[in-house]
Amino acid sequence: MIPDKIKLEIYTPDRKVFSEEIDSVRLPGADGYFGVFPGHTPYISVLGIGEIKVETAGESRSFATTGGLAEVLPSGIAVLAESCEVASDIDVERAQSAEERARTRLQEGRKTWDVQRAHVALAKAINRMKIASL
Amino acid sequence: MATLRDIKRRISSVKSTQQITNAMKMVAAAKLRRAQERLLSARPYAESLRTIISHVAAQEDQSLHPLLAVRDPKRVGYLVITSDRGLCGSFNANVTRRAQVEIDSHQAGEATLSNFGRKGVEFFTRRGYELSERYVNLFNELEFRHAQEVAASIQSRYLSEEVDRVYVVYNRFKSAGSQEVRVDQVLPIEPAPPTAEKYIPAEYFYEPSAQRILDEAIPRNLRTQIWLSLLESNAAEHGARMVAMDSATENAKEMIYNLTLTYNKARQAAITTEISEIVGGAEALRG
Repeated sequence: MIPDKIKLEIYTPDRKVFSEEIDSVRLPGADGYFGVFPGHTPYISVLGIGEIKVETAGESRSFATTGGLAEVLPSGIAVLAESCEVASDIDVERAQSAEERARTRLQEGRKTWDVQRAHVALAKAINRMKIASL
Repeated sequence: MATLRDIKRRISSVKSTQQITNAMKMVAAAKLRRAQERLLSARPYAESLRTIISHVAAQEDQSLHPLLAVRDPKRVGYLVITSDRGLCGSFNANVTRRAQVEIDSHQAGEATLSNFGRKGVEFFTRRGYELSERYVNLFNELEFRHAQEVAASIQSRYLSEEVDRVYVVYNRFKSAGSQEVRVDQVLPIEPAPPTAEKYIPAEYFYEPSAQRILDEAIPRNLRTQIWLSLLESNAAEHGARMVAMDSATENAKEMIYNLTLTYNKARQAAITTEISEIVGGAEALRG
């Protein structure tokens, strides 16, 4: 029988961000978003920059993540995120200045390494702002 | 014999030392609490990461990732973690002595050494050891990016085959009062066999591929392991300092007690001498 709840745990290198029984979660897989419901098959995925959306009892909560890994097992879901913030905790001003910084770097565009880093920084900043404004 | 004034001066000097050691004990206790919290909250991430790697490694070929590849350990790298500051008992001596034994067990040129923490850098430089990397005065503002930096350097030296095996030598935090010197292998990464409790031997679905998962997980695991060792050492250091400062304060207390006793005895003796002089003088006058 398939249980109607599944345990979700979200960790970052410096703390445990989330640990609850949930109805479902949508995660930003490296190749696109995927949803996990109770009874999912064992699954490991690389996560990209994006939104983690948790559904519990008709209520949904959003987190901004900059990527990591997720492991889905019948016993629960473990998300290992590089960083993960609840929408309400996002520092919008910091994200904005990060966006500006990334944009100016992209305009200057010198070495390929810098350009790549600036693109990633830009994507992170935009993602944070998007989730904060949800 | 020391005069009364000398003893009094010593008492007040010991007292002010006691105040300092006592204050340092309090500071260490506060820092220990914070360091311990950080350590405890970092452990679950590291554990889950190890679990994932053990699950993937159990099913897939280990040659999938270069950091899993075991080579003949001809050249061994050591990362020694000490504190930046002293006054923490045998904390640094324990770890540097152990590291020295490990390094000296290899033939010259086979072991390379890097050090995190000023005390260890001083120790090894004084003894003429060559340090390939030194990280100094970072514990005060310890952040994950420091671990990233260390891990990046270790990883590149491993991949360029400058070293075939890497160990971290550090103090592990057991409790506020006790530390344990550990020599942990960080590279090549040896995935633990999966524990039965969570492990499902069925096929996993990998997204996008087992290769990509390992590419993400393994460098991350190295960083996390370094980070955890730094946090362990940090918490252990404050614990050791707290204990050292506590016993210093206790010793000062005992010293003050003894000095006060000597002072009182000397004072008593002086009074007795004075009285007998007066009595003697009066006696002489009467005669």
